[in-house]
Amino acid sequence: MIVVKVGGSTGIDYDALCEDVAALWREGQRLVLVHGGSAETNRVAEALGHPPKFVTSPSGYTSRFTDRETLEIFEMVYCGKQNKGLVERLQRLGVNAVGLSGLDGRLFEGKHKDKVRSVEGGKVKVLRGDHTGTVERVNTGLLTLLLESGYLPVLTPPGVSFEGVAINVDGDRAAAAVAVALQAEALLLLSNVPGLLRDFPDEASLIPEIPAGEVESYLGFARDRMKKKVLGAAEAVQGGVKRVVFGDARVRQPVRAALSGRGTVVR
Amino acid sequence: MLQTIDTPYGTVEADPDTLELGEILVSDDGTELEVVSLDPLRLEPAPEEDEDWGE
Repeated sequence: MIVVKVGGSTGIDYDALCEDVAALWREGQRLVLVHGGSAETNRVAEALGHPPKFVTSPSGYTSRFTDRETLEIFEMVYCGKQNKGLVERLQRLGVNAVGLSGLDGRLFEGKHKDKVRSVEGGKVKVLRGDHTGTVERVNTGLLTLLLESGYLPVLTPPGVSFEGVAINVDGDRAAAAVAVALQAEALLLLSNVPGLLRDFPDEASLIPEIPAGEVESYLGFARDRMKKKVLGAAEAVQGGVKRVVFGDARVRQPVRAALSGRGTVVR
Repeated sequence: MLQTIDTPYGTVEADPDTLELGEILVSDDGTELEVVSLDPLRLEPAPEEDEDWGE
């Protein structure tokens, strides 16, 4: 079993990804696909007159501030356009994909955090009304049911709080939680960079390998969204996933490339 | 202008004219205080918050 997470940044070749996923699936490789949709969400939010607001935590993590209206736009794009776009591509390629959000069947369950700390103009502030959380429980029963019945699960945030409220959860860490829950042999985190770069954005500075026990010590090389990927990788290897690869989703056969070790391999 | 503001959780040095709602100040005894009202100025212990949040 492998878990493939594909980001939502610009430049990602979803057709190439789906062709690769479909070919592997037909060869008998069981997998779960998790996806994002951040760039398209930003575009739609702008078009709807509700531009995205990003906040930076005191320790340097940048995240979307998800008020209720933002959450609804997020759902339109992630659960609607992006999820169904991938399911349609896979169906066209003969793979019986089933698209679900973390809300469906309580696939991604976690605690609702309604306040975040944000650094603005040198001040640390508490912002309330956020709809975010972290995946603490994965409904493996539902995933196993689908996989054993021959369906390829295509999963996306948001998740659901223990009280049943939709929450924006980080897609990379949700994928890591799925990989741990299924005890996957590999977690592939594919985005629009070739891997973890020692000197971003210089692609020649790719870090090819990270020992599993030292992932968090590489956080300093990660910028913005990559920090969550490094954190997700650390959680995955701590949870028993043998191999995590930060791979490039802009190339042909991106899944095979990552499986063959192209990118940054954590093991 | 900086003023000394007394609270039940210690004193804070701050300029009331530049404070913003939600801003966190640290009192002399190390308590994190959130600005919950500007007029009248009211400071209360800030909620604890880890940074483990969504995208």
